[in-house]
Amino acid sequence: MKRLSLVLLMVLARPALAHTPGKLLASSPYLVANPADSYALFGVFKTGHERFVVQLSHVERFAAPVEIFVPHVDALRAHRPAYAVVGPGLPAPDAAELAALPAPLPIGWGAVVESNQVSPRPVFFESIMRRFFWTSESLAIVFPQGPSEIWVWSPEHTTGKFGLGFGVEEGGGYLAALDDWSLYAY
Amino acid sequence: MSATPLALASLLTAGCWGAPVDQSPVCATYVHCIDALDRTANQTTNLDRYVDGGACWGNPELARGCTTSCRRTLERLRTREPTLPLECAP
Repeated sequence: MKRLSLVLLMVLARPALAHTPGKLLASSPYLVANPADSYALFGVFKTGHERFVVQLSHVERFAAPVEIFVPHVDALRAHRPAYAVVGPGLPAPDAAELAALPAPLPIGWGAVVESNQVSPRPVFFESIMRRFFWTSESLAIVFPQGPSEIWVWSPEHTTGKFGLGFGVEEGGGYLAALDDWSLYAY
Repeated sequence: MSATPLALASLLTAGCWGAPVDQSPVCATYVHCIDALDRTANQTTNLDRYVDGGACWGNPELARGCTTSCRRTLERLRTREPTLPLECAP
């Protein structure tokens, strides 16, 4: 009966729109296979000194929302990871942004820096995982044609989980989240 | 951790859906602004997600996120760029 219910559920349920989930590791860059798709990449700051790198390459200049979010739990109240979209063709950062970056900017590269300091801190309910998250709030970023990267770091060296979302949910790749449910759903 | 039936049911039933909504005024401004900047720089940007009928307007939840992104980005541009085209004005 339980199995029948599950099958019925799968048949009747409308496919949800979702980001494609992925796991970020500080030890190696995450290469985005289809940068026109939307992704939610999750990672964990274990020391607070890591830099996570996402590599993309767009065939044309491409506008998409980007945000960083953290599980809405008391232990992570002060955990505010920052991110920067960096690459050739992006605007030059100001001096404060340049100083905030976790690594030197290669010559000829620009950066859009999100310090994740909106106050009061916005919260949203993620309807796939059914969890609340603190969010930086989205920015509409124009990615350059060609290679670019997203760097994620923890300015105050706080530790804990985070997620990086970019693109508009259009696909149904969320079933991959079942592979590591505890990471995505905290 | 292995997936539980509850997790699967959650994924299958809880997705963000709803009726499509109209493009928000602030994102209409964002699209016109980027178009105008592109004309000046003789380049083009894929704005398909943000244009009227784009993926941003597929349901109210998506629309909220996109609208926030347009508002914040226009605010940044107006603060940082002293000479923006008229299309970028509030």
